[in-house]
This record gives sequence, structure tokens and C-alpha cells, in this order.
Amino acid sequence: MDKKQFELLVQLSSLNVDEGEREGLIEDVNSILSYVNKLQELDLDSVELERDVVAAEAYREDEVVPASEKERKAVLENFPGKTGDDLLEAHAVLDR
Amino acid sequence: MTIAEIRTHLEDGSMTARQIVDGYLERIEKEDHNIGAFLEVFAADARLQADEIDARRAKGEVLGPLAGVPVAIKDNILIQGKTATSGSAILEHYTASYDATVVERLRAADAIIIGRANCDEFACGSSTESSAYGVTKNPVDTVRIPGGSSGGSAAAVAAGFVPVALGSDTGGSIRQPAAMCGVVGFKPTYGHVSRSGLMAYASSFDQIGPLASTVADAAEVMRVIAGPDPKDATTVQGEVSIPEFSGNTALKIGAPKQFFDDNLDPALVDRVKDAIASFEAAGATIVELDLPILEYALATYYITVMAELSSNLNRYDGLQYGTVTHGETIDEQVRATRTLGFGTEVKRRVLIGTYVLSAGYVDAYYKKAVAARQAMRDALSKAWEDVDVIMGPTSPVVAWPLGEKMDDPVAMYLTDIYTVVANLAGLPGLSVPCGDVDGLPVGLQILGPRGEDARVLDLGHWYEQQR
Repeated sequence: MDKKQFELLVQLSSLNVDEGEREGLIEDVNSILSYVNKLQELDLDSVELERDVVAAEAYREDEVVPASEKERKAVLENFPGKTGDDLLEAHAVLDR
Repeated sequence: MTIAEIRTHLEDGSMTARQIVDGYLERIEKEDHNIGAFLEVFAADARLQADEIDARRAKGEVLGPLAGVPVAIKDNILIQGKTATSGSAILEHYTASYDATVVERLRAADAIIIGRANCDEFACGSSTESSAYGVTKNPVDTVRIPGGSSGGSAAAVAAGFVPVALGSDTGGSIRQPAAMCGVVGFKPTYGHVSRSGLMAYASSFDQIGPLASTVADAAEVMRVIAGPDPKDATTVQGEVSIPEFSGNTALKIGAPKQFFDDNLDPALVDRVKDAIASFEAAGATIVELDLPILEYALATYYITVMAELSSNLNRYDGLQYGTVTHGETIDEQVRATRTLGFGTEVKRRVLIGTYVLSAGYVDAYYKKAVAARQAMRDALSKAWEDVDVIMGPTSPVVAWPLGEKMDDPVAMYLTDIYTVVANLAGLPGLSVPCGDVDGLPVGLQILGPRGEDARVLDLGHWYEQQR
């Protein structure tokens, strides 16, 4: 992976990388990728994937269960930005 | 003390729950500054809870199976009203709004939640050195790592700060630190223990489990925490049964040659082979297995877990919780928050996870790894036709000096080479101490087919008893 590809990857990962750590991270990413590239040796075309992660009987009705006052308060207290009436405050997503 | 000893003390009145808890708290206060197992100790809460147990006992109430037993909780498991950081700076001021199902069940069993144990950031690590809150040292030798990522939990048990602790295991994070610290660590079958309230790392791999000084104590904790939970759809439907130990050793034990690499320290291999030989002497049949696909286990594991991690960590955007770094636009703010909030190892993994899922690379990496994971599950399913359990070393190395592998991520990852197999296939896996190399503990790993947790624990218990 070269510098240009790495910059795109950083963007896609919602991160910033400063000058000081860039070289080291590129080197790490390349060494990890070269290790996992070992998988390319395998021919897996005949493998059939199972789909048994969640058993059918595990599904249940999607019921609304109100949170306790204690839980509600804790969630609100974790909001980094909050308006007076307990609403979450965040930057606008669209241009004003 | 073991859980049984605590129970006896409470039943015959030779000690109160308060005296038991005070004893453990005193030890933590005196010695944890040398170890760093805990991020926070709930001394006042623990004493209060112990007093309540004593009061209920005095009234003749029937107490839960873990009454008066102090438990350390890995800091990626939520405890209502307490800080939960998962070793990350981004959650420094985050307070859990609810109890994880396992914590709820421990409380219902009258266990005492004594503190939060240190861990690698978001469980990403094999040495507990990637925690934003400092390193944990191995109580066996304090210049060495305790293993990871549940290093705080393992060190707390090894140092005698608690009889049992909870950890989480995505690729060995319970078993590897247990091996490094000379204690017992058990990763249940995927779906046997609810993940509700466990901060997600790689959801199709993660499983909570116990660390303890004996297999019997690990089994006691399993009896309390295992079983279906409507809050986690991946939990099994029926009850999970961990019956009393049978001591049956007339089984077929598989020893895959891929678990005994030629480059391993011969002394470590001897400890593990001696352990396996003791089962043979007691009537077991040893079957040498050849499972070439296991040579690809670690590469398969790292591609899939990093992919799942990068998706799971998208929630840390600083909008609803977490420590926020200011930015002019929402995009700048999210980037700045994650950049300052995540440590180097988490960044490496998020970058690679994003890469292997990105258009143009998803087929060559992620999809290929998913197919390889399936091929491993298929090969193991076939192996279970010939053997009842698989044994080998838990880790290819003993505890290494602090700092030694921090600049070489691949060398660090390679220490998980034998543990990731259980998570790739959803198997139960136990690490039980089987001796030492120059004073440093070695772990014997016992893997069983999915759902056979009891068989794995039974053999571990037998081995521990006859040693």
C-alpha cells in the first residue's frame, strides 16, 4: 500500500493520521497485510457457507419496553452535547 | 479461597461475608499498586453488599450459589452506574446505563462485584499493554506481561485479589492470559453466554467466560452465567447444563500436528505432551491429527475480526457518548474524536478492517476469509468423528517481557495462533496450568465440539486433580 492509497483508507476509516505516525502505520498495515495474504494460496471455490448464526426460533416480537428512570437518566448524562429539554445536541449534518 | 471454601465458611459460620470481602479488599489495597489489575475497586459497595448477605443469612434466608464471592469484571462488560472504558480513552467518562446480563446473573447469585479489571483497548491485544490506563503486570514475574486482552482479570485471580473474574474471549483473550498467569480460563461455546452488555469487538467471535484458580470454580461461574437470553439472539435456545464432574478419561484425544510447530520451545512442548500422556495413562487414546487448514487460522481470524471491529467501532463517533474533540463540521468532529480517542493498535485494526471490506478488496480478503472460516469449521466437524477433544498448548510462548512485542504487531498476533481456532469454529476451549518453563506458567488447551463445554471442563478438572 502506498501513501496515496493509505490516505484514502484513513478517510474511509473516519480517522486523521498526523505526519509523525504515518510512516509507522503504513509499515504496520503493510506487514499485517503481507501476513494475511497467505490466504490467497487457498482454493475455496467449493466451500458452501452455512447460515446458522441465529436459529429461527431465536426471533421474537419487537416489543417496546420502556427504560427505567435510572437508565434514562444515565443515557442522558452520557450525551456530550445536550439542550435544556434533554435533547441531544449535535452539529448539523447538512449545510445550513 | 475457592468458591466451595467460601460457601463452607459462610455455612458453618467460621467467617462472615464481610470478613471475606474485607480480606480480599485488604490484599488489593496492599498489592495492586505493583500489579495494576484493577481500574477501579468498589470497596464501599462490596462491603455494603457483604453486610446485606450476612444480614440475610442471619434471618435464615437461602443465599445464592455465589454468596459472598468477590468477582472482578473485565472493563468491557457493563455494570450499571459505573464507568466502563474497555481500556479506551474515548470512554474515559462513559457511565454504563444498565447491567450486562452476566452481571445481572452474578448479582442474582449473590456474588460481589468488586471492581473493574484492566484490558487491552476494546479487547484488541494479547498483552494488556494497549490499555489507555496503563499496563498490568504478571503477578508471577512483574517485569512480564500478564497476557491479554483479559490481562487484568487473569492477574487479579493469579495475585489472589479475587477467587474468580470474568473476561471476554474473541481469539484467546481469556485462555491466553490464564496460561500466562498460571490460572484457569474458559471460553464457552459461542452462544452459551449472553453478550448483552459486552462491548462488541467481533460479534461472531466474542464470548464472555470465567477465569479462576480451579476448573471447579470456573464451572461454578458457568452454572450461573450460561443460558439463553432474549437480549442476545445468538444465545442457545435450551438451558446449558454443566453437570457434576464424572472423571471419565476413556476418551479419544486429538493432537493436531499443526499445534506442535517445530519452532516451539522444546521445554514448553514437553510440559504439554506430559499432560496429554497423563490422560493416556488413565485410559485415553491419543490420535495424531493432520488439519492443514489450521495453518491459515490466524490469517483468517485477523481478516474477519478486524472487519467486524471496524464496523462495530463506527458507533464511537462522539455523538451520543464518549469524550469529544471539537471540530468545525460534524465530519471533522467525528474524525478528531476518533483520532484522539483510539490508541495505535485499535487504529491499525480499524484501518485494516476498513480495507478488507472496501470495494475492490472485499472479495480477495473478507469473503475469502469467510470461506476459509467455513472450511475450518468443516474440517473440525469431520475431526469430531474421530476424536472427542483436541489438546495442545494454549500459547506458543510463555509470558514475555513488557514492551517486547509492542512495535511488531504480527509477532504479537502470532501468540494467538492456537487459541483463535475455538473462536473461528465457536468451540468451547479451556486453558489449565500444566507446569512451567523456568518458572513461567504453561497452559494446556482443551477444545471440544460445539456444545460440549461440560466434557472440556470435566477433563480439565480431572487433570488438575491428579497433577
